[in-house]
Amino acid sequence: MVILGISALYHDSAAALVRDGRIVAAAQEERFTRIKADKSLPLHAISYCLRAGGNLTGADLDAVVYYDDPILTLHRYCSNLAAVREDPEGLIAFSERSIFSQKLWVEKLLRDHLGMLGKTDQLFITRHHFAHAASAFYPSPFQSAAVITVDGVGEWNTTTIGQGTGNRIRLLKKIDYPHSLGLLYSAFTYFCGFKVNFGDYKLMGLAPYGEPVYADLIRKELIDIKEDGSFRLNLKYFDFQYGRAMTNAEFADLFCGPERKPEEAITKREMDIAASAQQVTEEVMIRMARTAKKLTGEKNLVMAGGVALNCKANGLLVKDGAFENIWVQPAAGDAGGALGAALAFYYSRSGSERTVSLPDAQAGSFLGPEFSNEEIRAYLDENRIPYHYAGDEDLYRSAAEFISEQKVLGVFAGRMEYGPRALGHRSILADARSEKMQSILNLRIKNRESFRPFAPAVLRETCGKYFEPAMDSPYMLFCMDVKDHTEAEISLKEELEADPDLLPIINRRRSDIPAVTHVDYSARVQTVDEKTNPFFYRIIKAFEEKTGCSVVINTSFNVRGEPIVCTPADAYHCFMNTDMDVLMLQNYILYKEEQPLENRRKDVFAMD
Amino acid sequence: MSSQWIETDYRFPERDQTAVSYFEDADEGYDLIEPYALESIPQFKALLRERLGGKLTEQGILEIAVKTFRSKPAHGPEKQLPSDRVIADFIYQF
Repeated sequence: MVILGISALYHDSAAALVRDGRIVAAAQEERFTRIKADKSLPLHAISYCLRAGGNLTGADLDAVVYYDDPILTLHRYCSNLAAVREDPEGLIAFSERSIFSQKLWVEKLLRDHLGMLGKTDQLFITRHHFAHAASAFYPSPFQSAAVITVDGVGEWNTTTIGQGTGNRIRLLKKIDYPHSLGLLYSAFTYFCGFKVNFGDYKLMGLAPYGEPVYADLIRKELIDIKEDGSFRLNLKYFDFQYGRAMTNAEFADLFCGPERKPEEAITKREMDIAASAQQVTEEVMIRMARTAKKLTGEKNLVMAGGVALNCKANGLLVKDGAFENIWVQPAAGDAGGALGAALAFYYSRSGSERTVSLPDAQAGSFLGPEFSNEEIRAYLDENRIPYHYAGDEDLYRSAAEFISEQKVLGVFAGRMEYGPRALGHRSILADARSEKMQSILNLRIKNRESFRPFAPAVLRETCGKYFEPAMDSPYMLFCMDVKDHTEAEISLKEELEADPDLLPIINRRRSDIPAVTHVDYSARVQTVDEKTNPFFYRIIKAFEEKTGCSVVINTSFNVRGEPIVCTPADAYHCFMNTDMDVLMLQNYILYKEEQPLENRRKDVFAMD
Repeated sequence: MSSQWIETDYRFPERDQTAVSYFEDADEGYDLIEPYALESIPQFKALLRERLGGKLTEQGILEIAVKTFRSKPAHGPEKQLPSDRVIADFIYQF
């Protein structure tokens, strides 16, 4: 049974192909169109999936499944429309753009592209949160598990708790729009001057600089949190229900002034708001997980939905210990809905037994396009790009040398990652031992805000040497504490009061791996396994052999506002647009100083 | 106020859930923010008729309309619900 899953028309569109329960291919549309979080119908991603499945056509598919019920979404829009009293015309125009223009016609749009929507020529639908739940449970390494999905909103739902057993999932409890933890977090993202749906992880990165001085105010005024993790927003402070901004003037009054405008200086207020929002989110997630445990009695937990990308909260869930094991779908946001929709349909219709795979059935999330050495060389030759070929062992040794010499190295190898994190196949690597590397990468290479932390990639077997609690985190979805860190002589608060410039604070040596040690001594760790990620493993292993350190910086291969690179050409353009020193396109090494100056091309991406 | 969890028992439906056959599930999750703004009804009606006329049956449109405007508000006094007469007028105009 071959099934095509599709998520589209909200944000971060994607397609996924599942054959007899095995994930064959999955990719986000943004990687092909080069538009960050592209929400359009994922025609390129669909074409890629069909190619990867063996040059399939629409007629070859057993089913095409869309991840969201547009009529239920319409119903929510209409109810919202009827409920808000102000500016109904403006809201209708907004709703029309948002729902009537494409979402209701998704069946026709897909049929126009595919010719036939599978053998029955019908579009199948899953519920939005059921697709999230399926994306979390079916690829997980668990025969049974509690399931939590949390996002902004999907149809009516914003949060669900369920249970997966064998090949079946049941959703047991839910919270509905407008009461949404995802929208609350997005409101703070917006208020702190970051883009909603793009900047939530920036808010998380900013949080450790602040103190949660507003947490009690948030609990008192904005969200009523129950002991069982359920909650209710106080809507008088929000504007999202009107289709305008996320927050209103009353919200601003609570936080002593208007929202920060994008690109304005970040002040202590934003840091404290971020810390407070993060603390409240963690509190809700922990209570919710305890309720899921009580409801299901399971020892395993799986999660998806955009809020499940909050690795700081995920790390605390591990420490809380309500569950023995936690697995989070690496494409936890809407992109993962494509995979969930396909898997939900497969297990529902085929009735097939589900066999659990170890470490999981996600294949390291390397589910996107790949390019052979021959294809890469043809591209380089065609464009007269200077390169050097290196055999595998030379390649890994060279990579280790470059990193240890404080060079910034772009690597491109194998299948592209599915989900927002680069996991070593489309990555920029650098030396985690350097205290200056965080600001060098942020300002000179990635062109992004100086405060943002970088993630460490560590050999799986040496995780416990550097981080605690040591655990498997192959998808960079859990924060851990850096061991053996150096406590500052003065507190971060005093440091910020003395000098609000973040750069000296960022550059201060906090541990033996300062470039990946955040100001609160935490790190968003990726554990790299030899079997699932051999290319990246061998680079870090060579680095360990050379330096004694088995940790490197791993950041996504892109600049700010740009999607992660997909093709060798994308990688070369990004390499030439930045101060990156060396690029490895699989076995081909490119040195910046050898590249023709005319190949520098200033791509301009909208700031995210 | 006590727990805000809403009980459910949702599973992937046994029947085929295709793009035009899912109305019976659509009465879940009504949780309106405030009582209704009746002044928006004319524009809403026109939009529904214009946009959905070619896609769904007349019965389907009515069903959306009725469910939308009969939805139970999460809070707010019940007397502010639209009267049956308003709903009848609304339906009649389709």
